Amino acid sequence: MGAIERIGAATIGRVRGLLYALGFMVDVFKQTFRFVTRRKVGSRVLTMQVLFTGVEALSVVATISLSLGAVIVIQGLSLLPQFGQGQLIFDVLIIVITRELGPLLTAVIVTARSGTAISTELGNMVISHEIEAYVVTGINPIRHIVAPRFIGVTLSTLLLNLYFNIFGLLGSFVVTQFVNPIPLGEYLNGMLASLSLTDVVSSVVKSIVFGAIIALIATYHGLQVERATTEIPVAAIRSVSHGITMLIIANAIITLVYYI
Amino acid sequence: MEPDDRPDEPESADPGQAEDLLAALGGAPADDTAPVSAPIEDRVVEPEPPACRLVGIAVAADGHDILQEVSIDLPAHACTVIMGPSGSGKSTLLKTAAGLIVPDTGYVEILGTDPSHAGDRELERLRARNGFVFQDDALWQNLSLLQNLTLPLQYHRHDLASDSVTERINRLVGELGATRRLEMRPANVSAGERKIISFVRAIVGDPEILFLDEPTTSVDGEHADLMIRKLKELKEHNITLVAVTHDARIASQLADYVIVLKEGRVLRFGSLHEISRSNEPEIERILTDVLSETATYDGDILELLDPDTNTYLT
Repeated sequence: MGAIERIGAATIGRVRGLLYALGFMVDVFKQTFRFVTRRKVGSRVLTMQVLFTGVEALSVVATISLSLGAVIVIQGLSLLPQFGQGQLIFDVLIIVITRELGPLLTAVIVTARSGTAISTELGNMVISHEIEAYVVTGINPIRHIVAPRFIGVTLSTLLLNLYFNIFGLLGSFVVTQFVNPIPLGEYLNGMLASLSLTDVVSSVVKSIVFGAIIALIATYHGLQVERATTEIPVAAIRSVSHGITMLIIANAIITLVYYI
Repeated sequence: MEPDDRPDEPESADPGQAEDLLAALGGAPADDTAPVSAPIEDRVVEPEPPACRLVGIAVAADGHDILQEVSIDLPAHACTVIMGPSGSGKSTLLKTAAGLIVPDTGYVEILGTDPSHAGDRELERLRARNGFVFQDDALWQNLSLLQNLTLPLQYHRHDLASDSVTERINRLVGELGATRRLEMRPANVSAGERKIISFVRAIVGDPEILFLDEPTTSVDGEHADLMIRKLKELKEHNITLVAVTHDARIASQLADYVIVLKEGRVLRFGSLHEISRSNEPEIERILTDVLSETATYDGDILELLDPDTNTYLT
């Protein structure tokens, strides 16, 4: 096979893969709608997913956001007053925590924890024929397995982003008490003055989009496993690498849409 | 390919049975008071549609042909056993017949419906009419054994009250001598128990076709006998059985038809009687090899398939 044929075959393969992934995405949306509107047989799966992704990740998110808030305040308060812009610390906090790093870091945490877990679990289910068992029993695996994970991960990412914001902004307040003590009222007023509706909406939109991306990519790669257990770690790695790449691209697009 | 002949009538039929058979065919019983029926030749007997039709099936994996040119009508309300050496494509054929594997060429009709052209809801309804026992049980690991059994009913049998579901599951579990520890996860019970629960899961929704992939593997003799007894009962209730097995007991006690596979091709499809009496050396050799994997019968191994001569297993 010549070089041009190889390139052609690879291109066709990529296009087919992309079309397949798009078809999977459409099916997930369709089955998620049916999952919500019909009998809630799979609600247990949804509850378990929210518990694992949302609740069990709280401590990790809290620790990271508290530390991040503290670092921003320490750096900001040591740098900004040199330019006579000490009051900009609130804007910096909102930009970094609410607009950008809150949704993105939360999504990265969810990808690392839940994305890999979902890919691994679904891959194992394929190998042990559990997915086939759903199919042959007349239970649509996209509706019963993927849809609750899709909802659970999206909802959890949104809630974790909220927690990230609360703990990040709280952490910065605690640090300011050691560096440059200000009353809570003044701190909150400064924070609210810097916070716009666009910041809140973009943060919410980002976390919903990121949650959907993580769930779609993780379930897609998990179900791509075919026969061998050696495919499972590959699926998990792809889930993380593709997931983070897509998150960064989506973050850039949403930021462009909202702030330019 | 249709089976080469129909299952043979019993050689020494009971006169009562013969009368029942005549009555079933519409023949006038030897009773002057009975209403006069129309002559048999005046009636149009519609042939029973096959439970499952495979037409021109080919399946390949990694560039290798698994199934080639398979065209078979699996008869309804009968037991068809698929036999062949390891790697001959038995499980692939079973899964293709059940609509679990989409063939590369050809098509499948299950109960008159081609799954690849069915809509979501139609497909779900069709699946709910089938049961499948996997070779490696395929129980849902994140559910308890009880949840494994109730989930299909929750999806498809909204007519059943929870009491009826519990009663149905307990009855089937009791009949098959399965574990009473239904709250346990599959990983915590033995392979045999998992297989029995997998069997119960396949039949709990009253399927019309039951596909079985080595149903008695890893099940002890006593429980395998209970399973075979249940399969006989299902067969008596006109459930279509399609089984891949190396177990001579299933073949001899249940099979009406036998498919002999070799290297992905159907070597022979016919009634048990015809296959077991085949003089073709290749068929004879394959069946001998397959059955001798599990049997310890000291004699002509092919007699194991013949219910008329088989005294060892009955």
